[in-house]
Amino acid sequence: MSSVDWFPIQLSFQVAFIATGVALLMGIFLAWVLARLKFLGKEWIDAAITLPLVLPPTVLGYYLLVVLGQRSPLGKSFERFFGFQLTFTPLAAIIAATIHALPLMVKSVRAAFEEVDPVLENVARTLGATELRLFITITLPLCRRAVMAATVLAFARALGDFGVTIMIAGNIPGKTQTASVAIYDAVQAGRDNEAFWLVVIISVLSVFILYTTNKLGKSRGI
Amino acid sequence: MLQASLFKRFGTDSGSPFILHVSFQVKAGITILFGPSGSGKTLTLKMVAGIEVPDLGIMSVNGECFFDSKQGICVPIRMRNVGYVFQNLALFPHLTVLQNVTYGLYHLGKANGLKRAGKALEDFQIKGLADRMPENLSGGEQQRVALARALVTEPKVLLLDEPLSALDMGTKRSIMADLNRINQKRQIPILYVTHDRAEALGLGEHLLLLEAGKVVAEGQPIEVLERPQKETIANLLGVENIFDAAIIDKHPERGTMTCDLGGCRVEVPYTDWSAGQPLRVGLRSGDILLAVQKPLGLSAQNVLLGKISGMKSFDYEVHLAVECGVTFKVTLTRNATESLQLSPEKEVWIVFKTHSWHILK
Repeated sequence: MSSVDWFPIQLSFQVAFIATGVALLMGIFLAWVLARLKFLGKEWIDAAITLPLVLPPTVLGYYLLVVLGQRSPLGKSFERFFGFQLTFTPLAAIIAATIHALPLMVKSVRAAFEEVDPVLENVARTLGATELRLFITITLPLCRRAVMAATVLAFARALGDFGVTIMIAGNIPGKTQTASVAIYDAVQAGRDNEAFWLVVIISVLSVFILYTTNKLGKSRGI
Repeated sequence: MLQASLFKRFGTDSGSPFILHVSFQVKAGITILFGPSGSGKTLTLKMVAGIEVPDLGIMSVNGECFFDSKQGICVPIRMRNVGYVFQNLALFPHLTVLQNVTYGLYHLGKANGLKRAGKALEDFQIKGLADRMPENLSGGEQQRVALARALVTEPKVLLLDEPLSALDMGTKRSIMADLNRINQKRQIPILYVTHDRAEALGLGEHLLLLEAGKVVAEGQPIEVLERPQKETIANLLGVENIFDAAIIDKHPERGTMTCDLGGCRVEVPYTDWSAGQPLRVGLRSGDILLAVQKPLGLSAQNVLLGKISGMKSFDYEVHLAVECGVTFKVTLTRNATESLQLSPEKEVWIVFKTHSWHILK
């Protein structure tokens, strides 16, 4: 175990935590827009958000590479503005994990928002609540179970992402190599001991996080 | 005073639109919105609250405009300060009783909000429930919480959508007594939706009768519900026996008239209509008594011999058709039907008071 490089594990958890946080905020916002607003092309947007659930990760990675890559307008602008290229960086790994986790979040939370009894929201309005206040105090707390479950799933998906990450973040040891990629790399290179310990560590940590989340959720009545 | 004249066209699944077109003025006190399901009672409340926006119309409360289609005014729900108790009560399930009641007092700050909420809990006798969750309350307690939550903001109008339908009459009366006592101080208009006659008669000071999206009658509940003067309203209120009648004889000294229904003669209340004039008369099926022997020593003027021509049993009651020259529909309890051993073809006496008849225009 002493030979295990902890960097991929650390990076994986950092990426998964940040990606889950971003997916949570974006997911709640997009789910609210899709559940509450009426506009043309709404279901097309829903379909586009859901696409990463259906597409093979390498296909999704390819699209991202095209959109964010060095030669794309977006990639060029990013590089000009920040002074470094976006692809093959830890930031790219975060984007990959976020996009992979987002559809789960949006789908579950949208369904939960749509199930909230509109009468409860109308009561809050008659009691003088603004849309923001009623969202924070009524809609969101009533959907907390769905949001919690979706967050756990999103985290799991972000932590386990392989295909999208390797396409746009690459496999640069000490820089962009996440645990999933490092395990693949170790197996390919015949470093079975290293692969074994990476698998054990990531499994134990994942179980611990899921267990703690469930426990916390229950103690708060979620 | 709530004044409204509202029009809205709703598309329905069946294709034919439902049109709601209501005009009314409601003073302080309880006004009943009465009518069959689908007559537009709840939609009217929703338009007053601002949940449904009328296509056309004007509405104001104590002179303050809530809606005016001509001037493009539509005050949003949260700015109207209208108390609304929904049919399912809609207590916030994740908040305690106290949090439910203080929800609308956000603007007062914590200390003032708690003070006002405490007073409301006291008024509705639910102070001991402050920390309970709604799921742990009885129906009557939930009702009191919903009313306290709606009234604690000191609304300009209170809208109640069949709030007591699930409660027994005793609890209903006790809650309404509290509501009346509290409203004595503030005197706001209360619109109370129900399709229960007893509730309408027992609680209302004024009544608006709705049918198919229109106000078809209004007045004191007892006037509108117990003495319907139009055939359409009598039909709506479940007056099952409606006949053509001709005045044969008038007895001003007795306060009655003898009418021929085209097969039998009955005594109806005196009117100033002249003899020979045709009219329509109505009688509720529940206002008719049945006897298996000719009853004696009654004050009722109408005692007719007939024969049971049809019987239909429902959960708690039996509907009978009794042929007395014309066919009377009679409603009895199952118990009465069994104790009299009624069966088709059996001869019976039907009995009803003169004043049970409604003379219809």
